[in-house]
Amino acid sequence: MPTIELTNDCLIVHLSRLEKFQSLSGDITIALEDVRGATEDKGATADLGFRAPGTHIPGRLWAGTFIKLEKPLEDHSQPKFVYAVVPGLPAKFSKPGIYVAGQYLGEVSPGFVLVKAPMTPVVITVNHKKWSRLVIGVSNPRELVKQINSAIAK
Amino acid sequence: MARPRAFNEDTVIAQAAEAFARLGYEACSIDDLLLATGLQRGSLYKAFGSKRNIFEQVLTAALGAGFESRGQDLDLLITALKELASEDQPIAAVCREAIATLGESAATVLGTRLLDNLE
Repeated sequence: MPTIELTNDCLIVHLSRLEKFQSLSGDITIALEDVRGATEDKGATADLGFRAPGTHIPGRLWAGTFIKLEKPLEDHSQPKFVYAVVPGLPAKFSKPGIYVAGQYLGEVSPGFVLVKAPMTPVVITVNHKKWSRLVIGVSNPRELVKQINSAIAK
Repeated sequence: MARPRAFNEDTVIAQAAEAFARLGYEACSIDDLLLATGLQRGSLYKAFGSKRNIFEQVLTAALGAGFESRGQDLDLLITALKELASEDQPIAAVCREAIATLGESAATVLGTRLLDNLE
């Protein structure tokens, strides 16, 4: 289980050696001013999107970067089909309203995930160049959420 | 690429308020909020950051003028006092301000609302 440490100005996610290998990531440090909030969210792992890169054993382990493509709600100019997804690259081939290849025009929200069943996922939203949220499975979700939210309220 | 939000924040706040008033704060899961608002998980987190932040906005919106006569808004205030005010300073401040506007009738108004459940 990853441990989350709160210092005076940072939130640090410490990973074990196995977890680093599974998620292809090192420890993660985020300045407290870039932490937007924390929420206990049992349903978070059902809604992660696709893994890129990392490890996933269905129902047991989610580790690594997961990218979720949010479907645009009622915006008819958005493409219906997406053939290839490379965030950051321009849309090379597209027919407005029908398809796009090269880049997804809806919302792309990559998250760092490390959840092992039966731990409860806690979603920490962040302003970070690589991730929009961290989804970490812990045994004491309620306490952790309170600690993080009161640390950023100061 | 940034995309303009395709939902109205006031509507979402009103829908979330109904869910919080019905279920309470801790018992209201993110899935309950998604069901109530029709948003997707990513959009909800992107717009508000956390459940606590949604509740803070819901509470601030609810405790406008004349909230003492609206049952749902009183339920939200009771939920905030019961579940959050002891540990969350910003939410405690919002509650204190609302209680101050009620003046001496605060205890009567809140107590009457709780006893309404018996009828």
